[in-house]
Amino acid sequence: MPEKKKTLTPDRISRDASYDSFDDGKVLFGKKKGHLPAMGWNSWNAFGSGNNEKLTRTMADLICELGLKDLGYEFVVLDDGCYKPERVDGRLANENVKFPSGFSKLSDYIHKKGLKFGMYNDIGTNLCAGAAVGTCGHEREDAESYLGWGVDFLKVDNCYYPFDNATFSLYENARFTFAPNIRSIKVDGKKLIAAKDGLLTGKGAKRVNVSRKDKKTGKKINDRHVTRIGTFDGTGCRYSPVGEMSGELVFEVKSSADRNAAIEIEYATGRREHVGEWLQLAVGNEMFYDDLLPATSSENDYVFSDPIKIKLKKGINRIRIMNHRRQENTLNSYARLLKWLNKLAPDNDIIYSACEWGKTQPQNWAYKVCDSWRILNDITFRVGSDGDPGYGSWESDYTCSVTSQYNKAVIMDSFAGLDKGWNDPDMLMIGMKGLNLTQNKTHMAMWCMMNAPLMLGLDLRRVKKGDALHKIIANKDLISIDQDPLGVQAKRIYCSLAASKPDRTYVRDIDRVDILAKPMTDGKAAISFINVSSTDKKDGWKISIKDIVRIFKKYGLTPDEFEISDVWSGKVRKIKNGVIEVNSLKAYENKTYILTPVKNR
Amino acid sequence: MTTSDFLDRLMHDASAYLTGKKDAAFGRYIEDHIPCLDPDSLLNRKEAAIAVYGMLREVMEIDDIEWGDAALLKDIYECKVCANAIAQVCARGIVIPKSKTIFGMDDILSDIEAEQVIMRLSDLVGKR
Repeated sequence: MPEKKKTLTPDRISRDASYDSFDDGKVLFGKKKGHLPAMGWNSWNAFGSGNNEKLTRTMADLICELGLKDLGYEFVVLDDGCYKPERVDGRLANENVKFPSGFSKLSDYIHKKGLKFGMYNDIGTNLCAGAAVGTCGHEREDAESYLGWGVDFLKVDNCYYPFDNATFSLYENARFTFAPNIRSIKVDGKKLIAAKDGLLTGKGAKRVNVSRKDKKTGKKINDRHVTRIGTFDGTGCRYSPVGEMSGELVFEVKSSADRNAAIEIEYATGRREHVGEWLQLAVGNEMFYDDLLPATSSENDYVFSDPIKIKLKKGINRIRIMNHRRQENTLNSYARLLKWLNKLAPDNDIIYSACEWGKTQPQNWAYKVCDSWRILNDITFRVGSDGDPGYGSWESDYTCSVTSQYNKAVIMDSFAGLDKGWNDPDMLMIGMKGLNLTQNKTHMAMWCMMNAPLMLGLDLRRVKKGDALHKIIANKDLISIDQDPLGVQAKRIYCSLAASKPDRTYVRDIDRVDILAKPMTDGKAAISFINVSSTDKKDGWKISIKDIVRIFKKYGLTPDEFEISDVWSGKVRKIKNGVIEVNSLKAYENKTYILTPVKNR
Repeated sequence: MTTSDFLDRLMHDASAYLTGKKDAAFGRYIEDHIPCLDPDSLLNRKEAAIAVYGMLREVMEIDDIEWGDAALLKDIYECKVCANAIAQVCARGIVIPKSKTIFGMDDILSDIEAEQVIMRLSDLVGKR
């Protein structure tokens, strides 16, 4: 569906929401922190756009009847498909056929059950299914609506976003999120060549040296320039989430005194991924230009900008040519809704889930405004409906599988925590066709070890108390790992395909065994041996308690005698010789244990 | 061919299968998956796929099949609400993608192409 044409331009970005503030640990608009990963049920994987009021009430009933509420499942979230396709008097409105009683009545029903009510929207102009009710430009009235309906949880997507080339957005929106190609700069008339004199920092920016025919003269010229100044798109599985996600072009310029100066940029613009029209120019951390440049006739036709006034200090100055707007624009848009929610109801504690699929590397910035952030595109594109459980895969070349999501989230533990929020490898697919019992068990174990939000995505009418699915989603020990008050995501301490740095190496080959470990309160720990592959493994693996204590010493683990309890069998035994040993793992199997200091028993 | 005309043709050709309930189910499916439908707009490949899949699912009640080579279509992953619909109709050979790796969501179908889609659907239905 074509994006509606609006004359919107990105906001000015405040300093506390800029790229240079991402590492300062500070939140915006008083965002409350200290939330454990959210637990509940979301309509999307279960029913897709076909969810309705009756089904939602039934799911709320079943969360209670199945004892899931007592285990911590509390949010009942309406995903896409619940609004009228257009606003009514500028406001969000319930789709009459599917939600005839309206959202307030549904919210009351859910609250009376002791549960919490969640809804969905989008920072763009439209929702992903197409309804023209995105929050962009409507943050105030939408905040009023959500507060009026008693919403406790908001999942906010990123389709039709006008300030980047997001899903269903214009491809040309990349003009906002990439700098132009840069050939040279002049500082007070002195020319510096980008590809020769400039330093490339971070990741992604690239020097190019191509020979081509000059259109005006017809002669062959050498075009040396720097391109791809911006931020990687993290939606797909290709790139590791660890390390630098953006690239800058930096010139180190010496000044003999503090002084004013002028800089001209020789540039050529584009409107596509990697080459844009938006320039950010800073000296150190002081921004001097943050706006569109006048477009050139093509990516190969270079012009000099008007002089831009800057200030130089005595000594070496780092002149940064960059574009961090992919991250900054998205952060700003999520912040706009938060701002109004907190302005209108300062005491609200709405859980805020960013669903921008990892496109803008939210692990760097989302903690400032959100409680969790999706890390990839969807885990399944074959969602269920009333009568059809949908389909989930164990593996896939793209994002739509358990292991695609796990492979990325498992090395993102450094981004998560109670003072930040949680990596979100998407909703659970337990209960869908395509996954067998062993895979479902390991899917649950992986998500719990990784402190992921636990959002059930199945039709709970298919579950009976005590049946195989119930035993998985209601596993108290696994839930206690996910919900442990210490709030530390597991670290991968061993990977059979990553001998050094198993906790930071991005591995997509699933023919491997991983070992995850995490510290818990009261000196406890959890450890999980996971066969990610489709074949049985009999290599045998040992982890010593000393190693676990050494890794997690700062969390209060001490080298005591431990008992370990198997989360699946419930069996408890003492550890022999301070070593935890697993001899074999069947295909897809996990063996997960909670270690408890004997003195605590 | 407009989207509206295409939907009318599908409904007409499926009249032997349509009951009041199925008619309503198909209508709801279209509303859910093309919520801001402009009936006078020219039919694009994505809308054709959604409409055909709605017919297969809600009227013919045909089960999904494995995606097969449709999984290679890179652009369908941008549409969480229609990726499966597109994959299903491509896997069944009813809507032909632009290339092996690109479906071509916004490409307008010519009248001939639209007629061919209708014919392939009829052939599939006729074989049941």
